[in-house]
Amino acid sequence: MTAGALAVIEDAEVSAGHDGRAEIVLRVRYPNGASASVRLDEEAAAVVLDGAGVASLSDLRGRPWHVLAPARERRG
Amino acid sequence: MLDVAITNGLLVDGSGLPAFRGDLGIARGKIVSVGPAPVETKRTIDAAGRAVAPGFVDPHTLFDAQLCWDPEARPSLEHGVTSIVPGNCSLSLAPLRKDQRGRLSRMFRQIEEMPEAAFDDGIDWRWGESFEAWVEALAKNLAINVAPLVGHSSIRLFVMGEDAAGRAARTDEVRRMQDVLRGCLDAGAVGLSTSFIDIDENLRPVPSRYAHKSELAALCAVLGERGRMLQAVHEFFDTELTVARVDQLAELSLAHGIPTTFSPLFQNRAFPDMAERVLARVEEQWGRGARVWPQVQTRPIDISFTLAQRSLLFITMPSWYTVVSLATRAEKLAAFRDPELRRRLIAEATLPPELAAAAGRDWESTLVRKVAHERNRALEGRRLGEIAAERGKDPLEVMIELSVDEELETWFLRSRLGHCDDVAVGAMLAHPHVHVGAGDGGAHVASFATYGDTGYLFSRFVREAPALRLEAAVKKLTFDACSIWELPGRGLLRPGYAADVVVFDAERIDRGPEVEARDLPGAGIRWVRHAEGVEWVLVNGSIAWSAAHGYGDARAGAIVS
Repeated sequence: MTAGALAVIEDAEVSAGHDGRAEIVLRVRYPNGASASVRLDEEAAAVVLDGAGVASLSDLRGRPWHVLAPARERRG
Repeated sequence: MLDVAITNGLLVDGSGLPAFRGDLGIARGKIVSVGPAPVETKRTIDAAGRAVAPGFVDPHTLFDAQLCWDPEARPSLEHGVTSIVPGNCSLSLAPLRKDQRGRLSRMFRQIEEMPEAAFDDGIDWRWGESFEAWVEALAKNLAINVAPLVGHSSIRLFVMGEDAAGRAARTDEVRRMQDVLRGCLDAGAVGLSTSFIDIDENLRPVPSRYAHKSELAALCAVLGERGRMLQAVHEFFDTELTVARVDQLAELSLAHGIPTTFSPLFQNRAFPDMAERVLARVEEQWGRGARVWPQVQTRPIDISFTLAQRSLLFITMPSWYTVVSLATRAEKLAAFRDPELRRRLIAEATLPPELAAAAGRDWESTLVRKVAHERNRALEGRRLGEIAAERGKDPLEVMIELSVDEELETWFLRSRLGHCDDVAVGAMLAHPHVHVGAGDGGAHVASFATYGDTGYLFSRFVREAPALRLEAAVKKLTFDACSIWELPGRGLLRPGYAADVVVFDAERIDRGPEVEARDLPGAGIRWVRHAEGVEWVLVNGSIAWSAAHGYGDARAGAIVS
């Protein structure tokens, strides 16, 4: 499967989170054009950057959605 | 004879109408006169040059646990907040079975970041299991008014046990939940809180998220019997889902004749059109006759950080993120000491002034929040820009030097990282359908202060970046709030109304700097903001706090519903 057939991270921003805490919000674009938002807390964001091997939020743009998977598994 | 006369004040009466000079007479917990006060009075408060307003209402708090050891909900009371709504986000301490206390405590602590020791040492569960018993126990020792919500997750746990966090409810269970909710409303609950997004300590959805729409509708039917509020935490990070929740709440409001509120709604760089679209949908639904109140907090988003660990602050600056991600403190220290790397770090983090604030890189205004060594104590609470100017250095250089001097133990506060476009936030707060709230008092105690949002409304959005007149801001926090929550006899300076009153300097009222407090049961610290410019706070006619004498012995708070 190529990256073109996968949902990709289109945008990533530091954003206001629940109760005024800073969080990361990512916009994921699906191959059919639909989009969805994913929010990550500080810990999850660090796990995702580590997993993707990048050191900046902007480097997540264009990556396939599955780089987010480790964030869900961090407490295994 | 009056118990208290507040004389010569500028009466900002909560109605939104222009303020006027006058006296306020108080007797037996009520306002008895507005205008010239009768001569005979036991006590006079001279309010010359000060504003006199109804006490403020904080509609989104998690003070449930704190109220068990702190009947004043410190420091909210000193900010002029005389009524609080705890029990938000689907969680309340009751109803709850004895064997579920650990489960609920863990969930509470996960969602609201409360220290375990405070929960364990500070809560005396002897009231039993029912909401009624909890309210009765609470009412015996209150200095602030409490308008409690009952949590949907708590009701589910009470009725369904562990299955509450695993499946939809059966018809008989929904009926039992309706009966339990009915009992809570009879005991004084002002509504039901639910959450569509929160997770428990195992990162699993909280019980309320397993409810079918029909279950929520059945509970709203009970709310409709009393015209009570449904509060929801929605998918605030997604515009489409938020709009869909506005529609869902509107349908519940119309079907059952209830007010609804959802929180939080932010001004957000990630979704620049979110607030506009959501508020447009809210207006549409109000046009149909529904009552849907978005809650907007006044304060911006802050981040506390050290150079010893990774933070969202560094996540857009790869060189910084790489350094703070190094494996050991020694490696990080070595990196920050390297002159060449330090130059690169400073260059990466520096933006032209016109871009810096919007990108969250306004280092001049970054605060030294907490130092590790006594020799640096005088720097606490100061801005890097001020220190840098004194030393003839760049603020970032000061930050790195201070951190290196303290083995990277220094804490900094980068404020206004989000929800900080004053024009946009001011317009939201002034919107007629926006409920000022969502501050979450009593939660996140070890991370940041959730107090003083009322003072910030005046300092920022009345004085510095005017979006509301003084009278309009007071109305938002008083009459509007009491009307939205249907708290009768409160929120106005009128004869016959409860004497919840705040006296403040309209030119000075503000939230103070974030400071550490060690007043929790058990170990641990919390971050608080004390009031500035508030002088007297009366709850049901009794002086609960004054700038001169601090907290008093009055326990005139009540369960209000």
